[in-house]
Amino acid sequence: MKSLQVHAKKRTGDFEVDVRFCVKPGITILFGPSGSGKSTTLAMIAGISQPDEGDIRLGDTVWFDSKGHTNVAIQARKVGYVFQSLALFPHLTAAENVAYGLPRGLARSVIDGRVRAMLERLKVGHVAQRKPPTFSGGEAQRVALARAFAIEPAILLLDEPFSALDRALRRELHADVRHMVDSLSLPTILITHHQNEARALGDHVVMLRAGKVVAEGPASEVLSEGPRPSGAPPVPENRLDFADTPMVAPGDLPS
Amino acid sequence: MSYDPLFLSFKIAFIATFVSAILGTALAALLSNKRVPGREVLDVLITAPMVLPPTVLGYYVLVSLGRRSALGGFYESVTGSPIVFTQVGAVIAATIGALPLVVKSARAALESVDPVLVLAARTLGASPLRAFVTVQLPLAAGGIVAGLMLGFARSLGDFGVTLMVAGDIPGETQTASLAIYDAIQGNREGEALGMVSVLTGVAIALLYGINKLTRRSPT
Repeated sequence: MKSLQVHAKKRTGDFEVDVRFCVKPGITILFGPSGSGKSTTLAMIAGISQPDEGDIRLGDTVWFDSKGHTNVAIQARKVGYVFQSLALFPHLTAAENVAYGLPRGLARSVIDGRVRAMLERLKVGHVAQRKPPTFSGGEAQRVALARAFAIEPAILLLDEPFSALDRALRRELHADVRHMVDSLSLPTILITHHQNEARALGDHVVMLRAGKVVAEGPASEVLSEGPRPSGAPPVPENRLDFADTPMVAPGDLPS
Repeated sequence: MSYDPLFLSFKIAFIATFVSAILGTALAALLSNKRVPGREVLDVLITAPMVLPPTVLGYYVLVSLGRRSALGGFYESVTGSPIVFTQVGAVIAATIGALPLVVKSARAALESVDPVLVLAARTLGASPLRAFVTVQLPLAAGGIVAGLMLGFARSLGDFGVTLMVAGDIPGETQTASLAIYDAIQGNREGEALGMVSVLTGVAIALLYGINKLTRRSPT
């Protein structure tokens, strides 16, 4: 199965992101406080933002190479991207949202079948003909996931898509995403700044701080207080920082 | 009273609005793209007709499209008729009035669409053009249509530029605004009142429609 190699450098004003890591099939958590460069990194992988320097490749396919002047367009990368705001098209029904990324030229019946199957797989078949403004929080997340999975992505990028959900709903979605990613052996990056989410879903963790990778390794090691993974730079200072990040999302607090 | 000037006004306004819809939306798309160099200068040039005196605009059109100009001469050699003092001239005059209103509204509407939606379309395989046509444009449609209605009302009532560029030829280029002026000059107040009432009614109806359109959420 293909893995994604990321080496990207980008300067914006005073802030520089300079990251190098590998994403294997399974869920890699991009973990760090706000402003650590997580979203910029994701944008560079998707082709939304162009690195100043570096190379990004999926298996043998080069997506970006500053030396070889390669920069594959966003639409050609086949990236399943679930944005923090979900970015569902408000003027289209759930079914039309999911169908949007399917190859054009497929027969109507094939498209309908695939859309229905994907919505049902994510347990939102009942909203197929409704538009996003009428969805509940959980339904919107599921439709956004269905839309991303429907294009049969080469890699899945999840930018804090669960942050607005309450704990029960989040757990349910974690299980569904876990199941989908495992069954497709899909390299997946999940951005989160919640330790609980990172622990629950992460196979592998890449810890960012101030635009740099400060630790990388199996989730159980990087997120535990135990011995650090071999080869990882010392991070005790950063751990203290992360200890300050909320362990519960605002939605978890009793209202 | 003769209905010819009213019919002519509506005909010219419809054509001018149609031209503004295509040209205005394309220009608005260009202006809302941050990567287009000199877009603010272009914006000023397109918006200038809103604040320039009609005589100044008319002068520019006469100089650039008159019979002795390169463009005007070329047009005449191809079609056998000049641009100025014809209905084509009247359409150009009306379009100059409508275009800035259409571009302003369309640009604001296009820029109000969440750029993440366009990026989402791109990650789903859409080319920049497809993302524009299937996501940005439909979500901006309310604002664009409101701009077109405003442009239609504006071109329906044009006086100064039309007079300079197309003249006041009854049955050929005499639009309702010009005919009202003529009727007042000739003491035919009843005729003027008829056309005034129609233009006022249309303007109020259009403004009411625009308010309805823009008050509704674009989604």
